[in-house]
Amino acid sequence: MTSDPSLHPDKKELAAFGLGRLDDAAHERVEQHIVECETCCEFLQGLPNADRVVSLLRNSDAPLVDEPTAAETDHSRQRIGTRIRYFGDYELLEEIARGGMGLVYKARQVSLERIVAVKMILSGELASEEDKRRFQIEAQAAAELDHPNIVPVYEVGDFDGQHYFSMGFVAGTSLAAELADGPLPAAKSAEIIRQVAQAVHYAHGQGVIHRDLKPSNILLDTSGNPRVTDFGLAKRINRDATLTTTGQIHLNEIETGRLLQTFKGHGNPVTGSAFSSNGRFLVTCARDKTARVWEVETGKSLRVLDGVPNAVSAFADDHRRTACGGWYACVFDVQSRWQT
Amino acid sequence: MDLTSRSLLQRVQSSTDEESWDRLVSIYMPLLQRWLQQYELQSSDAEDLIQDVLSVVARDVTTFEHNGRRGAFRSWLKTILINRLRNFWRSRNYRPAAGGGSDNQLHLQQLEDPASAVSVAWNREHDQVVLARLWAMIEPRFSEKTCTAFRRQVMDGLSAAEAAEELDMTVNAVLIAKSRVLKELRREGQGLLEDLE
Repeated sequence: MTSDPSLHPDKKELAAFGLGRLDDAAHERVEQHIVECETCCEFLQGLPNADRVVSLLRNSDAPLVDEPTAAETDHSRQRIGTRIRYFGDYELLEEIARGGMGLVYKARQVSLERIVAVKMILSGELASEEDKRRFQIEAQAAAELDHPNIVPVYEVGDFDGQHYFSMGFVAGTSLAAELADGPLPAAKSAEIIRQVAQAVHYAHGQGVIHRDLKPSNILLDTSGNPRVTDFGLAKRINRDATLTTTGQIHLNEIETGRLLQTFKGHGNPVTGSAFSSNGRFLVTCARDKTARVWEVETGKSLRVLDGVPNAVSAFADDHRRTACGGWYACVFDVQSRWQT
Repeated sequence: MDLTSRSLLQRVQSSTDEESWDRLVSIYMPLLQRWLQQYELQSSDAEDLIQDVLSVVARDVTTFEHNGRRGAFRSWLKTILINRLRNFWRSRNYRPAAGGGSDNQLHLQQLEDPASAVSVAWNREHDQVVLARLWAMIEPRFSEKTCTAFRRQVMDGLSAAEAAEELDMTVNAVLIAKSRVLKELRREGQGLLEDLE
């Protein structure tokens, strides 16, 4: 193949080049030509952007930042951090987390000159009016919570159609991140779960169920104290019956015995569990290195106990020690016990 | 064959290379999470289902053969997902709350029908998420200038002349930047996104 600049590629080939559709050799040859040929550049500029890749990228769901999915790499993370982006009253400083529901940014609230966390809800999450109404109600309920172990919700709203809520910014890490390095010492685990249990107990008293309680939603501040976050997803109970039906049913449906079975079926180690009486249970389990915590109601967790009587008796002391407000909880490494 | 000239799917299929598999997972995990959210599953159940789907993919991906039809991979994935959801509801002896369950069944039936609106939505969401993730993956392979030139033209809809002016590049260079990135996207996505060729 020649790269003689006087030989223009034919129009079909040029169009294919413009959309990146040529094979390596042809691409190379046309690119050499394009570097110098104004005529062909002009032709390329006149072509419509009629291509599926282009239209999918342009209409992707993430107009907030240029490349939200790119934040995986350190390369792009740095770049996001160095740009100034405003979102309503907030100056977005850096992405600090992402979940199934949306992105979380560390941000400066300009009018109040304070650092906050802003959670953006993915557009697909609140598709219907009902979803939006529910989100508003839930976030509103969360905003009423006031507890030292709960990350406060400051503001709920939408800006340019983007739903979001702002929360207190917690400098530190999350329980999930801590657990990724291995199980915590029993005393530390118990203290964390004790405080979490108090927070959850308080929220339940206010008619708010978290519904997605798990280590990644339990932040640890610089003193190591847990702060439960994402109450924005909480379901309100006893106040708006039609909206909460589903939440209630889900709570009742949890069968931890089955979950543990599932984990074991995967051949992964199960690492941890906690529970007890007065009609409520906290359960934590782990698959691989990730622990989880569930809110569970009476009766269901007993199946776990039935299945692992030895584990139960081994934990009995710990339970009593960590009793609090109707909740009893602790986290332990049961792997060794269950595998014997 | 040069390793870099093969697509992500080909690399996953032909080796035990963990990095490629992790990348595939990082593409499909968020897609499945988003998709499952519409069924109002407990988040732990959704995670288990995703694990199930991905383990089937892990087990069978090496023997997955492209049948030449458009969207073969996403259809395959969809079938696995449908089966897993059915099994899940069956195993739970799922009793729908106020008709919610029959909605789910109906939704699954529509998802099985390749011509339904639900399937069209699945296809679109699949392609969009996969493409966005692929872009994130290949972005570090290009210079920042190339990336910006590409983004300004493709994501932000600037003309080549506008992008060139803004970035102080020649029109030739921004056109080449766009072409190179699009080419790389198509190459990396081959087999996952076949309408792109």
